[in-house]
Amino acid sequence: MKHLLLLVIAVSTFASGCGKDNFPRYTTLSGFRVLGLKATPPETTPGSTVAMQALLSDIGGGGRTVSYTVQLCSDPGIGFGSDPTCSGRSDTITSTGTINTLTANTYTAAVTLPNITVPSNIFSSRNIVDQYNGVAYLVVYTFVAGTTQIVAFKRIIASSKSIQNTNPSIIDMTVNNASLTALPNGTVTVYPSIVSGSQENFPVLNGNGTTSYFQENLTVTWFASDGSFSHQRSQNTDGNSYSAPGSSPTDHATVLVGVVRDGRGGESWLIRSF
Amino acid sequence: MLKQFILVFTLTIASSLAQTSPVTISLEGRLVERGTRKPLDGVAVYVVPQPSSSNEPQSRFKTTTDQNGNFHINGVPEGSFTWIVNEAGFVKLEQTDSQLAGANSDSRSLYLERDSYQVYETTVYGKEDKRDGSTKVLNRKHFMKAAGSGGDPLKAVQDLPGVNRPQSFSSQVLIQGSGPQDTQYLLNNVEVPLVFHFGGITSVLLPEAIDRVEVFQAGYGPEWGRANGGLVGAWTREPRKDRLHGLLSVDTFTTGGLLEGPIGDRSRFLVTARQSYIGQVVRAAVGNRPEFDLTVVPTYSDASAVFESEITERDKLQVSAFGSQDSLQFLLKEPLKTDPIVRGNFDNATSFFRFIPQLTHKHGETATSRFTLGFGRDFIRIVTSDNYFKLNTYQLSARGEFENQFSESWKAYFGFDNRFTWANVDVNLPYFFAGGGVMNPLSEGTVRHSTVLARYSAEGFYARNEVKIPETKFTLLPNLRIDYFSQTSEWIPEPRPAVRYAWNDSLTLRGAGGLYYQPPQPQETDPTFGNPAIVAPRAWHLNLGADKDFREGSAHGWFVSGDAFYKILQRLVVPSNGFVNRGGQLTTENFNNNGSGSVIGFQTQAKYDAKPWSFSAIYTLSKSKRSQPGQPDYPSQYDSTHLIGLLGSVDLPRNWSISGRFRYSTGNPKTPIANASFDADNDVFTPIRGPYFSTRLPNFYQLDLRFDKKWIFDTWILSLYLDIFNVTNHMNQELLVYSYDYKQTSAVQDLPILPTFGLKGEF
Repeated sequence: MKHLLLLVIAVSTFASGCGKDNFPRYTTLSGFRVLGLKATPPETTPGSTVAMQALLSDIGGGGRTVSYTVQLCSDPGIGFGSDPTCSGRSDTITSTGTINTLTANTYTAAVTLPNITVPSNIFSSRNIVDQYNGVAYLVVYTFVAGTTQIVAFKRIIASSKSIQNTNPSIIDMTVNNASLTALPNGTVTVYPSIVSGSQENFPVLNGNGTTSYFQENLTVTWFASDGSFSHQRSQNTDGNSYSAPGSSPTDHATVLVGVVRDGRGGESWLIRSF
Repeated sequence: MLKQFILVFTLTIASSLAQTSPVTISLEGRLVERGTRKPLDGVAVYVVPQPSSSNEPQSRFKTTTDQNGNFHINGVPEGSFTWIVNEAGFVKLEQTDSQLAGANSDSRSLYLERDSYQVYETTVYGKEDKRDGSTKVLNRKHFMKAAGSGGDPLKAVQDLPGVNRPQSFSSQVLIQGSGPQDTQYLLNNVEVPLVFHFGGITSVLLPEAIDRVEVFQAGYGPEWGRANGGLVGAWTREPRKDRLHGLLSVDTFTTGGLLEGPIGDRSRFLVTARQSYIGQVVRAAVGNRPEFDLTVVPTYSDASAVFESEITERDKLQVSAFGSQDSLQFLLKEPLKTDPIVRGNFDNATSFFRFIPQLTHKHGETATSRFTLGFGRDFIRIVTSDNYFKLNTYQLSARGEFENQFSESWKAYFGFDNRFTWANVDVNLPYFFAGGGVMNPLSEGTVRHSTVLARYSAEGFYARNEVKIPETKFTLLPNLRIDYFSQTSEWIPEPRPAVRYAWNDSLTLRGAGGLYYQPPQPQETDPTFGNPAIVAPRAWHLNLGADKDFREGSAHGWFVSGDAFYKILQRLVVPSNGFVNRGGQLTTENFNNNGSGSVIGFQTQAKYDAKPWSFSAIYTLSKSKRSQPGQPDYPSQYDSTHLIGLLGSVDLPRNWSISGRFRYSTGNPKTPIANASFDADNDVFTPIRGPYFSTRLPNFYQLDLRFDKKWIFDTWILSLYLDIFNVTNHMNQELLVYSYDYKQTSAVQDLPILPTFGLKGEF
């Protein structure tokens, strides 16, 4: 009850713009940023291996090397308030690597990371509801670019469902029903082209044994190295207003990024540069 | 000769008769107080006839009003005359009038104006309750004109010692360092889930219908329970029975009305209703924003009704009813920036009602029984996109008490205090985690769905004894309460002894303490959202206090009270993100009883009256600590080291009054954010907390002023007030908001200077 009241107040406060500030805009690409982490597939069975990718941007970084450390462990209970870390977990696996592909002139790229194998005993002692709905295997990356360090994490879901989640897919950005292939003039509305079937239906097993069915809500997060989007995110296939810069900068391309997420760990992205 | 004699005799007699027997009239009427029409009893009313010539001596006729204000005078010469009423405390009345013999003589209505109608004091002082000395009482005269609270009876509670200032945008009552879940609210003896509209804008009660508000603090008696911090109770006043009364009030956010009066000789009623238009004000102020469309403007309304009747000479029936509703809807144009799971339509509605019959039966001079039933429904609906919380609860409360003066030295109260709840809850929500008062994004909480049909009962039985030790100044109170909570299947004895020592007529020393339990919150024992193994949290209270009335019978002077309190909190329910083996399977623990804490403090209040001035000062010094596994001991979220309140008022001529309030408190504790991690699944950053509540917001201070003016008409009164909140426009920092990666912060300020107006007409 107390928390619900907190929710009402929080939503009312932030939605009404009472928290106005001069914070940096989330949608503006500048400096080193981690924009997404993709596991393919995002949901699997115990003992399976998934492919990993990171979407990174380092506008102004000059193509520097990015190093990373990755830690893998069973989920400490992030969904219930635990800190998203593998520190102190007995099953932690650690490895490191470097990335040299954030180069001119976009300085923004999808980077392939080593595959990850979900432990085969991840269901150990977990109840049937958890096994069906999914048990998370935590992947924590610590990226370092120059003096900037960013910790980013992702959950790979292991479940006993017969039909498991897949990543949604964004294949194009359009303006006026045409593919966006050049820097637009002025302000335009940019739409994501999302592959049909990305918005999946999924079951949830309740504690009392009943099953509820839901449909995914897709969210697209927009980023721009230059110019600005009016909204940070759009829903499903809704568009977003983009005000383009007068001309592209000389030291890097103008980069637009759309990252689509399904709210269940599935995600993919599209990069356009001009 | 005889004829001459008869003529002279006749003329003499006629002349004599003409001088001693002028034509006279009878006058009758009613003397009432101007504006209120309250009958004035025992007041001298003079009639002074207009002399027919300047040489004629002025005569004067006097009568006295009866208990209904009626008067009657015979033998007043016909013609012009003047009514004169000169009574202490009233403006002298001189009113010319005329009446001829034989003409129709209407009953006169004379209206006598009081010197001042600003009868309400703005200062607040702790009155020693007849049962518990530590209980603080606010009467109507205190809360109706308290600066900064808009006349609200429950918001004025914050002006009492030992009541902590809540965090901003809230009016929850925090008693002596306890949390909001440790305070229970009562309306006419029956528990209600909430007493404020929309995060504390105003309470759900029309102030004019309320008689008093009581705050039960550390060491409160056995009659009440299930609240480890204390209770706040509001009681409606007795409807007036002399005639029909009404009022209509209008202020910045609401309009409301009250009607009351007699029903026959033995019964009376009072009804109130109030409707807000805050939504229209908000819509006019903000319109539809880039972030959202206001689809249903915020609105609230409330109503109450009271019926009282002396059924017999020994039986009194009171039936009261309360209802309240709040609603708000808006459509987010994009998912919330900091938490994209909050998206689309946002819908919030809350409502409750209570129907409360109460019967009091006097068995004789020394024994009385009281029974109270309370039936009601609570409803809450919060929906954001696919996530929702829907609660529909029916509640039946039953209280009974038998009071008897068994002997000169022993008085006892035996009673029961039961509550039965039927709850229907439908929840589809992500897990909330707000460790250290910092909320994780809802987007990353595990979403769980549950439909719960639950029945709870909480039963209490108590015995209160007041034993005067003969030939000493001691009164011992060996009190006991026994509680049963079906949620935890616990029978719990709670001894609550107390002692009083009457040093002299003006100085009382007192001590009280004991054991207090409250049932866990329903979600804390729910198999899906909570932990069925949770037990009832408990608190040990100790309170030592003194009250000294330096007035000693005088109308002017000091009244000082002080209390030292100590509370030990055990088995506190705290969130757990660990896993436990339940029924052979690993599952989330959600909550456990591993929290503990303590509160130690001292509070004092000094009040000085010297009409037309009134002044009150409060000070509370306290330290409230909490412990839980994985964290060093930390200050409670509601810890406030120093609380200072200065209140004053003055009644001015022409029915003006001015009151003011200054408040200071130590800044609220907050948890620093040490770092943040990017949650790539949900596109949010997860805060990594530093030590819980290890820093504080800046100290708080605020000055409020209130001006009241009344215009008195013969049969009604018009009142206007201007309540200026935060006169100095001091920007108190109440919250911190963070950049998306928690690397930058920005302060959210409390309300700036905010004048509110109110207009009230009453007859």
